[in-house]
Amino acid sequence: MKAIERALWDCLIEIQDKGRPVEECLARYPELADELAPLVHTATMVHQVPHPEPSPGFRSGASVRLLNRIQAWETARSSPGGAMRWFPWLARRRSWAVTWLARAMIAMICVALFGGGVVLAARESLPDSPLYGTKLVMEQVQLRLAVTEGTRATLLMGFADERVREMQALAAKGKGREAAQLAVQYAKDVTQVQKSIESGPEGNGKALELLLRFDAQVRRHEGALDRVRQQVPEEERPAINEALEASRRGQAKAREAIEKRKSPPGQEKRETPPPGKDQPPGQRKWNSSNRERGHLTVMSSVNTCRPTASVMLSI
Amino acid sequence: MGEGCPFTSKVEGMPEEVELVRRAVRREAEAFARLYELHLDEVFRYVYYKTGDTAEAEDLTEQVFLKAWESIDRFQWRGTPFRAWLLRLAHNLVVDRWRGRRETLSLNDVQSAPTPGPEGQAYKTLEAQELRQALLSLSPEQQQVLILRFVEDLSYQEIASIMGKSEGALRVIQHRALANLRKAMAES
Repeated sequence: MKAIERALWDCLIEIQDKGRPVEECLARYPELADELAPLVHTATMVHQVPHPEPSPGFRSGASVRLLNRIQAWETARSSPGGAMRWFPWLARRRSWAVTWLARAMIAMICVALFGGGVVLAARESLPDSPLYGTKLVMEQVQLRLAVTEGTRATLLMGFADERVREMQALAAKGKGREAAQLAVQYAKDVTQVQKSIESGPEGNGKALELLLRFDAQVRRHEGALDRVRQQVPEEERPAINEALEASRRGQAKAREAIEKRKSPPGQEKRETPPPGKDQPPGQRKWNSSNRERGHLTVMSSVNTCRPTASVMLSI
Repeated sequence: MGEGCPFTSKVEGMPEEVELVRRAVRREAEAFARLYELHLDEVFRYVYYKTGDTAEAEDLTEQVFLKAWESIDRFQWRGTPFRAWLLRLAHNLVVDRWRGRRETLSLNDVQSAPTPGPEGQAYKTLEAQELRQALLSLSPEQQQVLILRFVEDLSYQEIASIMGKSEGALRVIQHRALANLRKAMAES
């Protein structure tokens, strides 16, 4: 092991973990000072940079939002009367795909048996309704079953529309705080739409169609969100502003992408390949000799979630 | 902390956290929500430096805690703090998300403008963005070590546990990471 590596390690333990002054630590390694001091300074700088924090809109109501999502997850997880007894072979399986397939099948059976009344009621529900958790679960199921990024983008656009409708309804009822909490989810949905369209494997025509629809949609949303902002209390407006900002960013990116796709063939931007993969000389910057190729160590010892197969029933 | 020490220590409310974790393992949602509030910033910072996008970092942060809730009843104290477990979940989630999109944290991200924070946001993004730009020039392991050690203040033992590396390997990675980062910041 190199002396500098050991000295750096020991110094940083002394400084960061034990609170020793930097000069005291550097003084122990006079022969390495020229090399050691800049490295310690760099570590100090990284530590002292003002690190980012979640936005105020996200932070406010974060716990409530999490609890709502937990409730929705618990509702989907619980088995209200042994419907899975009808499909014991599914209950024994633990794969994600089978779990979601089971939920989708059971949801379809319930719609067929009970006329879909509850499903429809859930679709129209607002966050202050007991069926709202069911609505969120149904949306997640739909997303899980989306085969392509284009389908995913279409679903997300629908969800964004729904969030705006919910915000308008809540604001009209004087529930500004709840409307502001939805604004955070709307901002995320809008951001995801753009990414799904861009990363979709569909051809240029399909992507262009989606982008045009998205552009029109966020234009509609802007007016609606502006009206919601006027209806909610002052302290809730930052979250609505953030949603508006996300909407405008999405629109700007969509328009940029539309223009690119309308460009004649041969003029599209050529993607730069990832570094280390046949990248022409001159495009690399500074650290090709130090760069370690390969993947991050995946921490296989972590227990990843494997929810048990269960009925998605909230009737 | 001694005079002249540039690092401020974060005192963990250990007894409170142990009790909260105990209750959360028994599926008490309110205890888990309190843990969420305690560790929200840590997880967000980690995910932000991995993604560079505020909205995505917020979304992923929520996903991390939802994942944590799903598996909290299987959590066991193994000599590392609860936040180390959360950060392992965060790492796995980021890797899974990127695998799905076929994106890698690479020099390509240097070319694109970082997503600005929402209007009126209080935190200072410029220095963090500059740091992230420089971090992008490092290998994933080097980024990981620097973020976990100097942003998240984890001990080397905790980092070794999260990354599945020996302390000897971490020494080498850390040295190279700081040398490379210094070079990157000087050239930017």
